[in-house]
Amino acid sequence: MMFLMSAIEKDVVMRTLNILWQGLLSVFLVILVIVLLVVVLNLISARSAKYRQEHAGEPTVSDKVKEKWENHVRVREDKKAAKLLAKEEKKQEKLAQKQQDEQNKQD
Amino acid sequence: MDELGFLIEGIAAIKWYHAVMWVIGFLMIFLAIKFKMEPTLLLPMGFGAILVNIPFSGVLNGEDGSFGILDVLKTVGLDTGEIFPLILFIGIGAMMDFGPLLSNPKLFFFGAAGQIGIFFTIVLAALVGFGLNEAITIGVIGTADGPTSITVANSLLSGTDSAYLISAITVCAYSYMALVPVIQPAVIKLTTTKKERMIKMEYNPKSVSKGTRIAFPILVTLISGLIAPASVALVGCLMFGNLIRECGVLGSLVDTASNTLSNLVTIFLGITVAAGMLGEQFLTLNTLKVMALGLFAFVFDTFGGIALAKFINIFAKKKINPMVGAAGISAFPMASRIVQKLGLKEDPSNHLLMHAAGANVAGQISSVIAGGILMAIAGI
Repeated sequence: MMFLMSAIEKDVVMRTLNILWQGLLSVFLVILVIVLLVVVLNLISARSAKYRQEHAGEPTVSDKVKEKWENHVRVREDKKAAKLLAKEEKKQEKLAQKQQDEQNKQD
Repeated sequence: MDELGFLIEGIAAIKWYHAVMWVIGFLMIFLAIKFKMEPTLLLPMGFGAILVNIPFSGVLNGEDGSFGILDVLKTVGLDTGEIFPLILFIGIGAMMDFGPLLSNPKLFFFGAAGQIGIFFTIVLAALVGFGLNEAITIGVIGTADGPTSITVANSLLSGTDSAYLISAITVCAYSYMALVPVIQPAVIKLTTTKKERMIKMEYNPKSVSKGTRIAFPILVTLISGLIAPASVALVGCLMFGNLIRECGVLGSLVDTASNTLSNLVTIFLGITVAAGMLGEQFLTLNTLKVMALGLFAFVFDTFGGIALAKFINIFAKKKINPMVGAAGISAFPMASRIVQKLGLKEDPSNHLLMHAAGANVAGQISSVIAGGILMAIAGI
């Protein structure tokens, strides 16, 4: 069949033959990469499931992070409250001092 | 009586090709209703074929500059960025459960093998005289995936002298998808023995974590996008649909995408595809060649999966039913249903559906990747 073709058609056929092996190889390679990816994802989820099973009842990493965060928030709020309290005390002191001064003036 | 002459203007303008296209339209509607062959596509396409082949049809743009609904839908939904097929892909992604595939990833290779027909068809199309881009788009019919066929055909042929082939390729792709229940059983029976068809496969699904289900669509989009950037629209829409399904927080969107949106787009897509079925352009020798090559692609795709399963069986202890390989094409979920039906026919206790569904989903992903790779090879 090839000898019946013109040079242009032969060129097209040769290029399609290139596409045949390039395309097939590319599809299988991409699929191979995806398969490997799925295998890795499945391994990770299997391991994490196993870890969770083995450490059932123990606090998880997210529990620990949550606890740390809550502690951090608590400390920060305590500091804030202490600051506010100190400010308020200073205010009260100032007010008392002012009243005292006024009282002294009147006397 | 001359004043009433307009009443017979349409009748007088009927040509032989109009009549032939009406018969084709009636045949499509008949197949859709009588044999329930992909009625969501064949019925709108059949009716559309009749609509556009009525002389001076008002559904097409007029010579006086008036707009016709089907031409407008075609411009908006197919020619401009392939919006209809891509939106449909979101719906398909939302319908797909990758679970059986993720729990048995080796089924992915059947999806890859199910694309073999595309590449052999490209060579054959070049041998029968089509140009390179024409041959590629004809080969893509073998993806058994309408949206991918439309996207690749539009990308490679739109605005060229070969643009007339887009309609034939689109119609051919959707018609053969509808004819999968006829084509596949014949190929399976011709290429497998009864003994092979009776092979039982155990189904022991491993649980797939939610994290894997969520990470999969994102990572596949990244991988295929980096390898074949042209495929991002196709893969991205499919995987976006799947991501909204698997994330577990968008129930109402999943419901809309997989039902309302899909149905809406399917109605428009079927009838819009028919806008290209104008008798005078459609009934040509090239359309017949495209039809024959499309059939070849479908047959070889099915054979590709079967051949891979037979090859694996030479080495594997646990044999694979070759019919599962045949399901590695994109026609989802028809191909897997056919395999299940054929399996039950040979042995009423042989349930292959879940294996076949896995291979079928792999075929869907592989076909989109193959389309993207072909666009990359063609330099888009």
